[in-house]
Amino acid sequence: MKIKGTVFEIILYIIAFAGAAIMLMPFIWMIVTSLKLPEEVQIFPPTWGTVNALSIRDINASIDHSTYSSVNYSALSLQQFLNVGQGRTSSASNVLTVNFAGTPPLRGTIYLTLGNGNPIKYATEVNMSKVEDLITNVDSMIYPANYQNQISELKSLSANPDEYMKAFLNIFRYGSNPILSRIDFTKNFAQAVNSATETAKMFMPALLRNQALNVSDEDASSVVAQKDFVKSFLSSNDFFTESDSMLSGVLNYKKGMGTLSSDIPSVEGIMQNFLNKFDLKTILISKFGRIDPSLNVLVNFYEQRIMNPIIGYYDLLKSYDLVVDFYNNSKQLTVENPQMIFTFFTPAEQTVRLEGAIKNSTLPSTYMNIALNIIKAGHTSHFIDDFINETDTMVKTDLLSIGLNQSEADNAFRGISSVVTNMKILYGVLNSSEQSELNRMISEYAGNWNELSQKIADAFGSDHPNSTGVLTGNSGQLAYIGSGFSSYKNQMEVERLLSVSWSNYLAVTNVTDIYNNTYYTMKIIKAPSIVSSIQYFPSNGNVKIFLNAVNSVWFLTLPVKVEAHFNFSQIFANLFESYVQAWNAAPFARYYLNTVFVAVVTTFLNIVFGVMAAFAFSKLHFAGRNFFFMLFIATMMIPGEVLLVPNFITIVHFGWLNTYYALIIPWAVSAFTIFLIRQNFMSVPDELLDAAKIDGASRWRFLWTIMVPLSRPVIITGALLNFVGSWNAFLWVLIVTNEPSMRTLPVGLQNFSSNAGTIYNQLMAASTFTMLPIVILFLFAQRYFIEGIARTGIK
Amino acid sequence: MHNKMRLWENISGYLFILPALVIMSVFVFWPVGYSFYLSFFNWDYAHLKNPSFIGLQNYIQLFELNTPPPYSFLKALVYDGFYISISILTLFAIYLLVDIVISKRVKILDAIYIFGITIFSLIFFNATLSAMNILPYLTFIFIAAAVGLVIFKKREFISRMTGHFFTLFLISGAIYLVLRFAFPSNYGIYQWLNAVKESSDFIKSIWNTAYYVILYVPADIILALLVALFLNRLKLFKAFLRTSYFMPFVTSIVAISLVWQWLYNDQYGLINYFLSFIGISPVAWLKSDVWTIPTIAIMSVWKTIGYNAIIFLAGLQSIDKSYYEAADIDGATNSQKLTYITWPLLSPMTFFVLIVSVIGAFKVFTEVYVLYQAVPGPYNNSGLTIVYYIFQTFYTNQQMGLASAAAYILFAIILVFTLIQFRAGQKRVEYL
Repeated sequence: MKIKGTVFEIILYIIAFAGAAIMLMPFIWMIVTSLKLPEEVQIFPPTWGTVNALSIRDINASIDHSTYSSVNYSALSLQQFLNVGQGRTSSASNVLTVNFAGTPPLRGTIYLTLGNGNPIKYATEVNMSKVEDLITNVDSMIYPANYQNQISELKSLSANPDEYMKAFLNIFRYGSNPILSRIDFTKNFAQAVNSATETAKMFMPALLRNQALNVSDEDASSVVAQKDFVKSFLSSNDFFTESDSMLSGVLNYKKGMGTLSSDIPSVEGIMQNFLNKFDLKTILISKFGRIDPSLNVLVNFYEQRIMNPIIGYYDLLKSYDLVVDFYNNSKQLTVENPQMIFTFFTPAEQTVRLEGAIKNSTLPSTYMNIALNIIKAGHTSHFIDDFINETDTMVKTDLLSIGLNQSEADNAFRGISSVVTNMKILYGVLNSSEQSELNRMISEYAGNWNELSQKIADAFGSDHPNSTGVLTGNSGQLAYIGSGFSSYKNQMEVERLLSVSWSNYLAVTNVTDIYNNTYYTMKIIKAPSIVSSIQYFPSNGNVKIFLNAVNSVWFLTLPVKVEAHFNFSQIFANLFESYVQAWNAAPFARYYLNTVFVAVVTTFLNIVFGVMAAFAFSKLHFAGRNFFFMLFIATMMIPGEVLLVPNFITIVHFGWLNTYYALIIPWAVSAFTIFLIRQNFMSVPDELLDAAKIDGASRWRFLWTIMVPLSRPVIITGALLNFVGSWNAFLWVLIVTNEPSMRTLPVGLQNFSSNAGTIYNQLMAASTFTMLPIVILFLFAQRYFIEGIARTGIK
Repeated sequence: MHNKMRLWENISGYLFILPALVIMSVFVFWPVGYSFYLSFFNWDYAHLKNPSFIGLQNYIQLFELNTPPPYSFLKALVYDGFYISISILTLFAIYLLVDIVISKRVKILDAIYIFGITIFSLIFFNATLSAMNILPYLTFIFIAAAVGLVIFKKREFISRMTGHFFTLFLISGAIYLVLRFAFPSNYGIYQWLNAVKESSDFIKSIWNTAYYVILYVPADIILALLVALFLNRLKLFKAFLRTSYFMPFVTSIVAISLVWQWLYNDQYGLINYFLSFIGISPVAWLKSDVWTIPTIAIMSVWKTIGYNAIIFLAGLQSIDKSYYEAADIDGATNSQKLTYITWPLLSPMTFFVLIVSVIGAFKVFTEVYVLYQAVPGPYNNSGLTIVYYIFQTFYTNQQMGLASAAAYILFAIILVFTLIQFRAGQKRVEYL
């Protein structure tokens, strides 16, 4: 019997614990989700661990090929093509860009290895004659019509073999529609084969009947043999069966990882097999030494209409082979240890470096001083914004100093800024010599906008009509805004400030470049000698590796292995990254402040007023006591929702919308608290009050020095319940506040959730720190909560 | 002297309650009346400056149907009245049977009367329903029942029934459901409301709220009772268990709703993940209007189970141990102790918790608002509750008068339950 009882008990325990697990599961899941990386959140099946907790994190990385891939070469003119290749500063030829997939690490040390960890090879110069041979070979091949233009355009890069190979690899492998894309290649090849077979079906019988095949008496035996051979060749049906099997063989490679490049030997083999059997021209030459002239037309017809479509694709693969062989064979130099280790500079280091970079730059001294002052003041986190502000202030004070009043100055500033904005656009489409021309013009003619407008129109109007048209002419900005200045007494001085504003802009651009270069440059702990510097952009997960006079093309085909290593405090920061992000995404500090303030004050008032009223209802005797008490108790029966509309109207009447008054005053009294405390006061003997009266103590003093301490547990319970209720209040706060600055945590959280949408890790983090104080409070004061709640049941 | 003291006593009393009184007056007493007053006015966006008195128009507008109902409410009432009266008669018949069995005496007249009417009604149920006009039958039944009650008021089997209103309610409710399933009909209050709820937002909100209450309250009470029984019985880890069951209650409903929103996610949510272990394919919890109310109910049960369990626990612990000891001496088993001691002595508290839960459940709003991101349900207003309706009407549409009217209807509903609790509370005092 005892065993049965114990078994029963054990079962009960299991059920109870299962229930407890269900109760706690949402909390645990909330915390787990809040610690995860964004890409780990929305996966199925869900995971309970997170990569964030690891000290070594593998990062999925690959070489970035996007530099050329978005360009469709066949659509460009040669000039444009050359511009694309050379005009982009961010994709300079010695920069190797690596992309990180997923969320890029924001701290820690990064270990980046090019290749598989084995030494890698590269080159600094290639044999130019070999390049010429290569290009000639590539160019001499036959290609399918849709690729012909692309490949022949490449010839224009022959002077720059590194770029040639880069472009070649991109066209064939890495672009957005690479030639070697499995699906595209097989699809196009199938089309070609099908059209070749259709042509063959149509024409081979006709070719058979061609006069050229008629054996005449003058024919030598070799010729006869040739003709017989060709006849039997054309009449066999092997062509069709073989071409089918070739096609299906090639189509096998439609599925697979990456591009066709890894399977080229096999595909070439299949094609070669077919061509060996059916490339009539080559067969005849190898068999008979030469083709009899009488058969030339026929054979050429066969070659061009039936064979060349297929040969074109074979040649594509072959030319790829050629270039890749050349590429691989040119790599003469070796990097023994192609691993780079780099990390972030500390903020202090960054400041020093930024200062150094500014001092070494080509900035004019006024701007240099401004920048250095900002750094000295310690505001490096919003350095650029401060710099822009300072330079703008320069112009504004100048405007005031030449005699304009405040509103005129503001007006003039807006006008000048507007002109500068449009000048920026023009500046962006000019080449570098034109740009310096424009700069000179501005500094020389800034005092007279009409003249400046004329000069700009003359110099650039024909080449860039759109960009100049906004500025110049009678309806252009210079004329329009300039005419607005005609009422100012120092119009020329005002207009001259354009040159100051313009040089501000140039300085800002310069400073931004310096800042970005400094800020995003990483501290290299170890790197091969060919690496001169490394930049890392955590916002988009790009790493730019700057090489020392080595073209990045040599590393384009390599895999990349990246690991991020974190020390203990960095792991901690990683785990709580979502919390930081959520906190910054909405004014949670303000929400916290509001919530704490409102809850504390409300609770305090509730207790004070409640204690007073409870005392009166329990110990004092006055007319109408029972009536008022019943009235108060009756209010507990009224649902708050009934009072919503009128209370809102009252609040509006008092002008208390969006103030603390609206959040506190209506809740400063709670009938429940009064009831709770009164129950407790009732159990205090009346004799105490009488004794106090005899001693001469006032009722007030008696209340606070004797009654309250005696009822401390109940009062604490009441205070706790009130505090929690106020902290968690939602509907009322939603209605009486619409400014973010006055919201409490629940409303702020709800607002944040509607903005954050599905960023669940941040949402869960926000939920966690919203409920954390209350949970901690509860854990410490459990006893009071539970006893208080229990008490409500036993009336 | 004495009068002066009395005066001072009075004044000091008033002074002590003054702050509370002032605030209560401004923010409770005044609004209650003003809300009632407002509900008779046409005060909305168009009439902000000059609200006009429109009498009961707001109330009528609440229940106004956009499309006409399939049949009139009266017909539904009549048909349902028929079912209800038959179930009450059947109830009488059952009690009479019980009385006969127990007292082993048969009062012929009573037997003929009750059994006759009951059997007659049941046999001719179908015929009655299909008849074009059931009013004569209904009238007959009502009169018969009334006469019967008057005559039989003093009879024993009636006395067996008095005082157990809750049990009577449950039994007749069960009989009603059995009748409904045995003799189905397209007409009735439930069917009428079901058809009509799509034509009026307010009726839909009442429907949704009632559905929520029916789902939430029994589940919460039963589970909380079980938890309380566990907690009362198990000695080890009491503190841990108590904390884990109670913790959801103190947390903010907004934060909890967000967490549950993530749990309910149909692709990546934990709930669907666990369901997949037992072979149930993913449920689109938050995107299907069928699941709107159940999702809220499940979350609410999770949140408040601890709170109610603690109350029950207090009640369990207040039962005098001597009862149990006496039972032990008599050799009672655990289940016997549960049925004959625990349950009866706990039932007043159970009733109290029940009513309080019902009242609280009627006020559901924040859960819907946060779980569905400021929309009452994925579509079709499937999550529109009464308070949500009030909120929408007042805050979004700025129709103050209409909102006040709706609030007062809510008040009336809650008041009914409050009064039930009040009367039951008084009866409880009579027990103990």
